[in-house]
Amino acid sequence: MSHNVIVDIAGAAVADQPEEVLVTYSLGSCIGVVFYDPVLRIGGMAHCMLPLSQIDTHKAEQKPFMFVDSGVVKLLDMMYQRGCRKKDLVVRVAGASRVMDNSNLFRIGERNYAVFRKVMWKNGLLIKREDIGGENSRTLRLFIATGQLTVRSGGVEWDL
Amino acid sequence: MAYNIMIVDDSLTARTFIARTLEISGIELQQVFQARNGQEALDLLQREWVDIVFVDINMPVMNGVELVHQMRASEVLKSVPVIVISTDRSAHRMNELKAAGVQAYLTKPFTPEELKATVERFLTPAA
Amino acid sequence: MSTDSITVLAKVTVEILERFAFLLGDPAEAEAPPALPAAAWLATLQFAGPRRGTLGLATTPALARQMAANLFGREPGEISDEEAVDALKELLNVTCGDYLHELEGNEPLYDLAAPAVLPADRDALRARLAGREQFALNVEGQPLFVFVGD
Repeated sequence: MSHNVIVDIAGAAVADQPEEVLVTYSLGSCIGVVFYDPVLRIGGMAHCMLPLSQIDTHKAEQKPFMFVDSGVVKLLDMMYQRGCRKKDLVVRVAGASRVMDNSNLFRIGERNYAVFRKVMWKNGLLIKREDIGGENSRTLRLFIATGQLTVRSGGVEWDL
Repeated sequence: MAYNIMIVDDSLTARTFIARTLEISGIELQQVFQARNGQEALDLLQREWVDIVFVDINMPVMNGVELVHQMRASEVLKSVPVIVISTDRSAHRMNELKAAGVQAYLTKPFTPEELKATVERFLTPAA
Repeated sequence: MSTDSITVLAKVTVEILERFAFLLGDPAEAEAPPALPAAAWLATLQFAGPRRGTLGLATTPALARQMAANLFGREPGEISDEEAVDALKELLNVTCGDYLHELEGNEPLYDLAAPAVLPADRDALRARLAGREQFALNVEGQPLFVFVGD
């Protein structure tokens, strides 16, 4: 029996049980960040809403996963605390769409993605797969037993 | 297998970005040589064997197009893979370099992932 | 230069800041442009092809240092002036390439001169910007002025 662990908006989770599935719903301009260690079979997922924590440092302390810069660094730390090694980490990212911002005035998705890239580069990590942009929201599922990551969007599901 | 790499670009930023990408790509590096123009690159290439050369086009003293032509005219250097990395996207320039035997062309700005994918066509990452 | 080309330049600059330097830029409101910094770095690059002109960036040393830190994967405090100046030059180089490509496509051949960076005080900067097509961005709390002209 699989067991869903829901990652809320501005939340994150790390899982290491083979029956566990990390799930996050309704990724619009937010980004879903997924780390997986195929050696230890540990997975982590965060659902970040806004690019930079400097706009509200108080909020960033209470809810670090709200922001891409603070959230991704914290999720990375959680992976390392579980014993994951940098060279084993598989990095995948999805989201950053233009849902609800047709004129794309604020470019939130693009900015979230840019800050994510910055954090990866600073930490010496490369992105293995990504599914970024577009107009639709996405749902992500990470299967801890296998590392399979599925994206569901616009009624279609595929592996990332 | 560890590789010798040469990066030819007058921008320190560009050279550093390429070198760091290679470091974190999992490609085993023996030595990374850096040159600020085509002439410096040719001087180094007289003394050092390299497995691949990254070449910018716009450089003082000797530009990248001239460097590629000089390399292709040399018995020793003509088979060394060259990846051109430049802001120049003109079809004319790309055709000219393709005719001179350049294996790959990346336009700036590129992501580290794009660079890694291009390099792996020529070099194998460590297991 | 038409209004169109300056709009293209503004779009390209914001995208290049994100994609190349991992920096977020917001267009400053035309009626409330950011104050000119007392001490700026002024970067210029001449291009020649179907269009000729000079593209310029002016910003604070602090932003140039932040940019270099992002590109080098280090902290701003560890960045030398030489590295910060070089990062600003490369940003200008990449922006110019993308701008010309966006305006003209792949056909025309352009010669880009090597970018140059000079320090400029407020008066020198004001004089350099006067009468030129320009816009300003707020980049993570620092001003960035972009201009193009003969």
